[in-house]
Amino acid sequence: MTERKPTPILIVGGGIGGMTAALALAKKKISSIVLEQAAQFREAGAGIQFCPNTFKVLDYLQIAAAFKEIAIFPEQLCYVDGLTGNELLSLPLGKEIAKKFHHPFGSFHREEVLRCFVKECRKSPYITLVTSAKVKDIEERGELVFAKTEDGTLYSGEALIGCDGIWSVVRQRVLGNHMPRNSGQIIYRGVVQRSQMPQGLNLDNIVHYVRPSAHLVYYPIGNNGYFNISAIFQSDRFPDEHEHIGKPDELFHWFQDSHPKVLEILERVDTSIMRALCDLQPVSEWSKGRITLLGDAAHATLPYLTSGAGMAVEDAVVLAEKIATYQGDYVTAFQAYQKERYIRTAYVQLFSRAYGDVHHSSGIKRELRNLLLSRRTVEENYSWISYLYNGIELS
Amino acid sequence: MKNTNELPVIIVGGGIGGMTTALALAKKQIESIVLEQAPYFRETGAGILLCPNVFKVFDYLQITKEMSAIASFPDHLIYADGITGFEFLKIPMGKEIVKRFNHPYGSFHREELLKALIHECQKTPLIQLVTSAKVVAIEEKGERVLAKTEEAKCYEGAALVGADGLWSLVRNYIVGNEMPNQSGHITHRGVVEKDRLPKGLFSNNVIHWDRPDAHLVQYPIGTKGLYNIVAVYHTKKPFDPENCAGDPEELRERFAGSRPEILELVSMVDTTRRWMLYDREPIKEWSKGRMTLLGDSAHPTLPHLTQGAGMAIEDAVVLAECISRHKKDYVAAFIAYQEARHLRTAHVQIFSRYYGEVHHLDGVARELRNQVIAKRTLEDNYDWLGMMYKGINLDKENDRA
Repeated sequence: MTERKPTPILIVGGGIGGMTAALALAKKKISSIVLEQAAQFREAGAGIQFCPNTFKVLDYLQIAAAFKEIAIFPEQLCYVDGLTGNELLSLPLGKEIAKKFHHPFGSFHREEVLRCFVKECRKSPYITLVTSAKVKDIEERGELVFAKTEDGTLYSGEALIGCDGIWSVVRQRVLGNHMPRNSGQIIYRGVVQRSQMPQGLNLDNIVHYVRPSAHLVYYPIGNNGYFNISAIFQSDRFPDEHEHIGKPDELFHWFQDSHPKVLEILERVDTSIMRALCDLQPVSEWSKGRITLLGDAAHATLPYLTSGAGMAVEDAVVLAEKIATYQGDYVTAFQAYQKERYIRTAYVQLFSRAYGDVHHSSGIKRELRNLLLSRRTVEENYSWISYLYNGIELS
Repeated sequence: MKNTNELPVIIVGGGIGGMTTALALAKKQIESIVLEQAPYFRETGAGILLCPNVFKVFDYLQITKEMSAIASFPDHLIYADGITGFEFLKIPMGKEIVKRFNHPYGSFHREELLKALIHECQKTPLIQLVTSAKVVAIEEKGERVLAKTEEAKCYEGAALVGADGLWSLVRNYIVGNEMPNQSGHITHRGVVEKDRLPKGLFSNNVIHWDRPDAHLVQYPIGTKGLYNIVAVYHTKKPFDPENCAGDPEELRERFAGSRPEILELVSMVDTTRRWMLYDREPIKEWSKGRMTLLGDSAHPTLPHLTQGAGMAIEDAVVLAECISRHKKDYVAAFIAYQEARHLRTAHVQIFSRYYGEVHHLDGVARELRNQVIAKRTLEDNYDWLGMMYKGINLDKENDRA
């Protein structure tokens, strides 16, 4: 009689969340199959920032070194008034943040991050990566979950984790009609080489220019000399999620009267493509039987705390921990997992919304914001982000 | 005809703001006349909490002793979830607050506070108090301001301060007659003798119970054994401003499912009269020539930071300071005054709105509030209170009249 090969866990979505879930399960010697709809693993967007709490998880998974190699470590996080050019706040990152929170703050090219994850996954005998596997049907039957892809292949697993992002198909199965909320905020991006950045900017920093109804951020990504520029405005319309064709006039309208420096940077964004920023309303439950969600699929957030990916990787290790603890009782494991995660992820969702509003405030609110931010000490600022940056407890 | 500089400053409105303005001006040897529309001076509402920044002003006006004599000093400020009873914040407010901010946190009966201020006003010949003087029209004429009352009396002043509250007439002349903003929060109040409170409900603390769509605040007021209950809910019905009668049914509905002690307190509020809470958007200019605004007329706020009266009291001393510094060049003084005040008062307006929403959170956001606030250290909380409690800078030099 041959030994029965343990059934793997199915992971729908091969992004940062899905890969980390596979790695976290592998650490517990649990097999998984990652099903990615695209023909190759890729990430949308250019830059991504990992806060110290994210590195804490990577460290726990013993893959931090690989990521540090492809990261750049910005010196400071700065907020500048986008009309006057006055600096409102500057928080030391670099060595100081690593000392304060035991892990660094790094910035990456998204593609490189994903490539690094793929490489780590391929090293593990517990992980199977499958591309061109677009899941269109999910069924829980007895002690198994089945996922059927568009090309008719049927995968089965002991459980299924939906890591398929904000427009998650798996979420439909779990939460029904819990749809993303359109924030009315529209983002344009640009990726430029160091030599193409305007003169006179401090290129070692992450700089946010905040102004009424709009803000612009630039930061270095990875160690190949590229920069990410994001220009975001609060529009007075709610474009459809599928609308992607840029409207340069609209973009420049919302940034008019900005400080010359801001306008100079703004010239470098790609005006041909836009995207509406959406998020989810926080919920406390996102599992059903042997199916659960992870990352954006469960708790998509606006990007203003740069913690979307961080929450997904934290989810992954907590989930693996619970699965290992409850040894095959997935229902209980998933309940325990969401219970441990939902407050922290709701924090990111709700405070990101609030910070977006603060970024875009105008009139007296803007004056008050500038006054209150400029009064804060570095210690107060560290204390303000410590809930996130201290990270979760890992055994 | 009197020289402009010999004319008093006209103060429209004899509430806490108006009286403090008169006292602050008197300290600078500036005469004033307070015009109150009612036949006698009175305040609406029962309890009022004054934070250390207000006592700092009392100190400056040298009336702390008199004010403290009618205050009680709560031991703690407590916030608890109104459904589960989970106490997520408890800040020592007695001696610790004095140690931290040099001044106490006190609770008053509004009537008594006003009476005490009037008593101080009556001590000086520089202040004239007039009741039954409802101002119906004001006019700036050359270097003076005229205020006409309902009974056709005309008062003449070197300048005019509108301390006439939320529904300010003076504001119409300076800023315009836009309506204040309805918050949707309906208040019911109750004042009871503390001995009549159900067993176990009395404590010398300010307690906020927060729950979805409603909150309740309870605290002892003044020194005569009275106890204040304020029940606030977010109405889901269309609001008729003409109708002040309470809606006991909606009150009950909004508080349904609360902790039993809250339900007992709700049953003790006066349901015959309801109050809509109003505020306005912050503005930075509320002066015009020789006329300006003060307190609620300039920057009405929701009560959730308990700083409405505090801002009026701070306004008063800054205003007097500016008039004195600009040697009675009222136009320049009023510009300097609003410039000095608009951000601090906007802070109270903006954050009060925000805290009002935080009080009434539901679902995951409510749980998050409870947990995040519970994690705060005492230091965090004092820092947070410090934004307001540290108070304004006042010149140390006390005039020795």
